Order: sequence, then C-alpha cells, then structure tokens
Amino acid sequence: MTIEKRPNATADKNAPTQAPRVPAVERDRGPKLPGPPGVPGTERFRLLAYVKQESMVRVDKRPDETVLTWPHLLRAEFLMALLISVLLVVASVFIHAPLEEMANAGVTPHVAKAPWYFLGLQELLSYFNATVGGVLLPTLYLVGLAVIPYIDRSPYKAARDRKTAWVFFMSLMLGGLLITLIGSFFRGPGWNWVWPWDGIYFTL
Amino acid sequence: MTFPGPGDLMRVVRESSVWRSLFRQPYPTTSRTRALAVMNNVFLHLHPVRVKKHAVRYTYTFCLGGVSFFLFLVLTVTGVYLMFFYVPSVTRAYQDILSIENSVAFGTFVRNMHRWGAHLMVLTVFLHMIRVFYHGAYKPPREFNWVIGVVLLFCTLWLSFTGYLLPWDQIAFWAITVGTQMATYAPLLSRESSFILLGGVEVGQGTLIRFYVMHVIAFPLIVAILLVVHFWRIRKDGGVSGPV
Repeated sequence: MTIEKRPNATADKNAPTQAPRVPAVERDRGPKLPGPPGVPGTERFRLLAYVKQESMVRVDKRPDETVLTWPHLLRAEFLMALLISVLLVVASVFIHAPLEEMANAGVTPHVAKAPWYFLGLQELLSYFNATVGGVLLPTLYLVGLAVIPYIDRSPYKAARDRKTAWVFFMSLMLGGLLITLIGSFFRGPGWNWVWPWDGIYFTL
Repeated sequence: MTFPGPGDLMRVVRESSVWRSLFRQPYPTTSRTRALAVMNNVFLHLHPVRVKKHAVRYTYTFCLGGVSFFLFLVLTVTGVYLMFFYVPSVTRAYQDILSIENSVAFGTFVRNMHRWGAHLMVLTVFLHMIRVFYHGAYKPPREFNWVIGVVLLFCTLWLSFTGYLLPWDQIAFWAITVGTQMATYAPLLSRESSFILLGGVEVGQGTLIRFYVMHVIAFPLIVAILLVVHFWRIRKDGGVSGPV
C-alpha cells in the first residue's frame, strides 16, 4: 500500500522541523485520520493506490525493461546465424541448383516462367491487359506499400486494435500468395491450367 | 619444479602488448565491461548497449530482419567467390557455370548456397515486412524507415532477378525474357524502357553485362547504403518497436 504524505497546507512554514513525525501507517490502527488544521503532528494523508508487490523490498523500484546487448542480444543473433548457416549448408550439400542447357533464343521451352516471386505478376497478366497487369498494378502495389504509414494514421499498434488495416493488408498478402501459388504449380504449357498431379512446371 | 601449462601460455599471450593492442579490455564479465565491449567495437556498436527485454524474444521479431541481413552477408561472400570463376559473356558464361560445377573447389556447394540463400532472402524480407506491419512498427516516428524497407524489398527482388540471368541457361534466358517483357508494356515508354533494361531489343550480350553489373556492384552498394540508413534509423527511433 502506498501512502503519500501531504503536508498540511495551512501549517506554519516557520514551524520547527523537529515536530514529532507520525508514521505513515500506524501498525494497529490503519491510516491516521485528519486532525485539526494547523496543529503540528497531525498531518493529513491520502490513499493513492494499492500496488501489488513482487517482493517485500523496494516497492517504488520500476521494473527494468531492458537487458544488456552483450550477452542477451548477441547470443540471440549468434544462435540465429548458426541455425541459418546449418540450414543453408545442409540444403546446399543435398539439393542442387537447377541448370539446363545453354541459353538458345531459337528454342522456346514448353513453359516460359519468370522467377517464382514474379509468378503472381505473370498470373495477373493472364487476367488483365499487359499495361494494367504488367505495369500499373505492380507499380501501384509497391507505391501502395510505401505510403501505408502516411495513410494509416491511427495511433494503435496492436493488430487487435486495428482489424481493418490488418485484414486489408493480409488480404493483399494472401491474395499475392494465392496467385503466386497458382502461377507456380497450376500453370503449364501456354499458361493453361494444369493440376499439380498432372505435372509441375516450376523451377527455383 | 613446475612446468608451464596452457594457462600460463594464455596469460603470457593476454599480457602481451599485441593482444592488449587488439582487445583494449579483458573479456567482458561485468555490466560495465559488457557495455564498453559493445560501445568500443565498430561492428558491435551498431547495437545499443541495452535493448528492450521484449525485443530479444525470438517470437517477437522471429529475427527476420536480422536473418535477411545475415543472408545478405552470406550472399556477398559466396558471390565474391563465384565472381572469380565467372565471365559475363554470352559465349563463356554457361561454360563458366559448368566449370564451377565440375572443376572449381567447392564450386557446386558455393553456387547452391548462393542460390538457396537468395531465394530464402526474398522470403525472409517479405516475412519481415509482414511482421513489421503486424506490430504497427511503421507508425510515427518510424514512417520513413518503412519506406526505406519497401525500397530494400524492391532491391532484393531486383538483385535476385538480375542474378537469375547470369547462368545463361534456358531457365535463365526465358525467365528473364518473360520477366522483362512486362517492362515493354509500360505506357509511352515501352521502347525506351525495353532498351534501357535489355541493352537491345531482346535478351543478349547487352542484357547480360547490364544485369551482371547491377547484380555484383550497383545494387549491392545501394542495398548496403540503405541498410546503414535502415539500421541507423531503428536506433534513432528508439530501437525495436513495441511492446504492443
């Protein structure tokens, strides 16, 4: 329990400071009731708050919200770097990067696909005309991403406090993922629909 | 009589003037020396001396930005190695890839690492963006750092795309042909943008050297500069955002 001592406003400022002090909480009687104004030794108190205490000492100590970079952050960084390194080494030992015959402008392959992160874009091209699907929409996408902080001015940060923004953003992301997946695994020769079990036309 | 052990040797090394010129303080074990270790090291001083407690939790950031940066470093190292054996010429490029695969020490391994690292980086950069959005970490005062991040996302895609052409095989050739065709649909500037991008009317030697230069020097430099600004602004805006 925190009790703030408020000196009596009407008390004489020149009164001797050696006036007997009254303990904030008297052990058996609880907070002292206000006494008559101007009488030394009868200060008034007000109850501010109950503070849940972690230990018996130093109630007013603010919890330390920070940790030292060395070792806490550096350890996290090191472990993550180690994990990624192991992952990459294992992948590189066992999975080989694709390589086909030498480039030949005269031989068009059955399926010509862009790198995977552009396959959503390539899928868009099959819905819209080239200028809209190939240039305007991707430009809009990037510029739209960049201006998000200047459009979304709500002060809330947690996703639960800004569901509209989160749903809107995730629809864009999942929409992008969906058309990327379609472009990657459901499109074959001539950009026709091919079920994955009928053949996968995808190279990383 | 006692013989000097490994501990004595370590002590002699640690007390030598060479060691003390390299490391200006003993191994950090106290709060003070740990703070100094971060402040006095050029690589570590990218970090603040203290960080928010929630920011070191793996499940807050999933280390996605850090992993992206780490992959950028891995790609730089493996890329430099590959550059020793690769000539960006339409007659030599494919042969060079074959010899990297067949006769260069660790050639296949390094090429694999470069390719998988690149794909993973595109993925982690995207996920990093989603994580930052989720925590609303682009809110003031971090708006412009988000913009830099979007530019970095574009640079990552562009680095990956330009690198995709370099093996000069059928996958590369046709992927870039399809990819760059989109630029020719640009209104008003279709002819010009195609020429600027391809260095010609179709993918050829002009394209290869352009993509090579963008891939190995121009865009890595741009990304490095933007990363410095990105990290600097994180520090200046009070570290990792939150907790939310």
